[in-house]
Amino acid sequence: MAAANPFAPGNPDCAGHTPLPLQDRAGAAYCFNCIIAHFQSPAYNLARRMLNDWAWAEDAVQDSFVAGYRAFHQFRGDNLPAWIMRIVANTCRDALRYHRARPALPLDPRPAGNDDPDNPTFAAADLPAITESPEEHAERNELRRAIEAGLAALPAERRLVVLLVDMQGFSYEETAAALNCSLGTVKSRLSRGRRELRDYLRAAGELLPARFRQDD
Amino acid sequence: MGIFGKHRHIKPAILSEYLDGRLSLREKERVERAVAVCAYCREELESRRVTLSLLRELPPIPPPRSFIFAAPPEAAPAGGRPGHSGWAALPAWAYAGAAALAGIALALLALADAGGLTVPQSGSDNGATIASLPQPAAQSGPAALSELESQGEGMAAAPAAAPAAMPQQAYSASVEPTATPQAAAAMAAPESGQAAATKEVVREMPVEREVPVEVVREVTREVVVETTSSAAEPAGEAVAAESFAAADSVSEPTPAPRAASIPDSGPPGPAGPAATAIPPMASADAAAEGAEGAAEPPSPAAPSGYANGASGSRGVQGNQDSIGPPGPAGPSGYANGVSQSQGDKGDSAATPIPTPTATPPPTLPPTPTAAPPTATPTPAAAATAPARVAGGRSTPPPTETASLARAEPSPAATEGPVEPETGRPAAGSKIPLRILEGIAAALTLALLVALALKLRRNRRSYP
Repeated sequence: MAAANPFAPGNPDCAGHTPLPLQDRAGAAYCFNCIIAHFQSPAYNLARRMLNDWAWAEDAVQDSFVAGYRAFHQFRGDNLPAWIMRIVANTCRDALRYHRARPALPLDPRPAGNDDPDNPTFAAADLPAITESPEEHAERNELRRAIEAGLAALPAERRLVVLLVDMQGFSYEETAAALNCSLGTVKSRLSRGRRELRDYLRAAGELLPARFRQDD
Repeated sequence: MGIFGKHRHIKPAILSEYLDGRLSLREKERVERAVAVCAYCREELESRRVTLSLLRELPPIPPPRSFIFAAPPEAAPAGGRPGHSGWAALPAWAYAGAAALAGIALALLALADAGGLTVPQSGSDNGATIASLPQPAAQSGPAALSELESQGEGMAAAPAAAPAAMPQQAYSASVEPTATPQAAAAMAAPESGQAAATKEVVREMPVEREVPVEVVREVTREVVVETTSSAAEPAGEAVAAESFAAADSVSEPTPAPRAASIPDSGPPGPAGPAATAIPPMASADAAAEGAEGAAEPPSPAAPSGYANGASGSRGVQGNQDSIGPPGPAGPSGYANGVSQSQGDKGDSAATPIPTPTATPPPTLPPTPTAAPPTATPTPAAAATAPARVAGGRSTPPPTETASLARAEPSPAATEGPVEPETGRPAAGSKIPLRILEGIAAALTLALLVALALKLRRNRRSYP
């Protein structure tokens, strides 16, 4: 078990950070910083798409990893991605509930589409690539914003399933384990989430690039 | 295709699974056939395929910073999650068990209440109360009287009248104010205003008191013995009224039509009335008061005393005090009490009295000047009252008292707090039981709510 564990202390990826050894319920050893290094990107993407705010997402990911570290002795060693994403999903639910009960507006609102450091207005990452024309770059950004708006319009549970299956690449079973629901629930939520997203993109079809427009 | 060759569209969930490659070969072929022949299914599948490709083209967002820990995080604060108190840390089975126990306790209480297990049925226990023991309480009077009879002082002729007086005295006194309306209603001479006032008085009556039966018997014996021994003392009408009122609040008014014939054999001695009237008295303080009043002799003042006793609830007594001296009120109350008993008894109660001589008892001073509103006996009451008195000719007031004691509770008296079956006030010994039931129900509800919250929290057992 320990030999097949990619997150065991002392693995090659462990050299870049402080080892943080932990044991799960079965006694297997892990380096929790290796786990963080491996799952922080999907965790942040999930939180970012769920919360639609980079600051909230950052806090949620940080809280999730702290909670995972404290509760790692409860991990059974069966499905670590599902276990981590379950923690992140629960933290996102708590954050959504918290911010829904305490709505707030930023004192210095940024322009729409430029409200996070991932997408600064004049950042180098936002500049057109050499292989991409300005029109194509504009289309890509427009499509991304439309999809993100469509995802944000989904109910939280359906959004979670769509994000985990279609964007994180989780299987149905892993998604069911991560969300603590049945397989049928995952199928139902996924189908409805996709249909609602399709309807949203159809309604906003004029904003989509021509090759992505879905004619009724 | 359907059963009759009609096409049935592919379900959206099946289309999603088809796009994810999760269908079996047979289901996959079915979807492909349907898409080939059905434009709707084809369009549905294509639109979903485009949506899925759009989603998968969405670029991942790089994390703004690294979340790797430079140092191990601090341990979790004690007490679980912030905002959760210690009780939330209890396991779910503890809540479930507590809720189940509370539910079982509630069910047992409800069953015990329905089956009468919580109301003692035997009067032999010292812990039993008069209120909860209607029949034994009613039979305690004859026992005391039989003992008194064995002493042979003035009660020799009253063994039959006493049993009748015991169980029925309870509401004869309280009924007295309503006696005139009752008798008037029976004899077509109603007085509505007086009836309304009487209802008010009856509602203000004190509720039953709970006194062990043994105490009542003891007090009854003492009072009877003292009464028979000191029959020459002056009468205390207020005390007599108190004794009647106390007896009113305790004794059981079970109907006893056969007892109506008993007063005809009336107690011969002067001490008879007091002896027959007192035994039903149940409360200890009232018994002590009755011990004084029981010593009253059949002096000229005695009839008024008896009459006031007959009109005996405390509320009525106060009413008479406000009107005039209690002495003159005696005959009226006396007569009304008799009419009440007659009206309530009906035919079965009135049959044993054959002499309708419409004359008040000779010992009662007819003083019409101070007669209270209830003092003017209706003709029917005047006709029936002497009939009662005529039975116990030697001592009319005692006989009257006995007959008054047998009066049933009037409908006015049974209104509101009186139970129709037992005739005793409803808000009696069951109040603590209902409080217990309420507490158990509230506890069950609270525990169930806590269990639901706990399970809801456990459903998200991941940190």
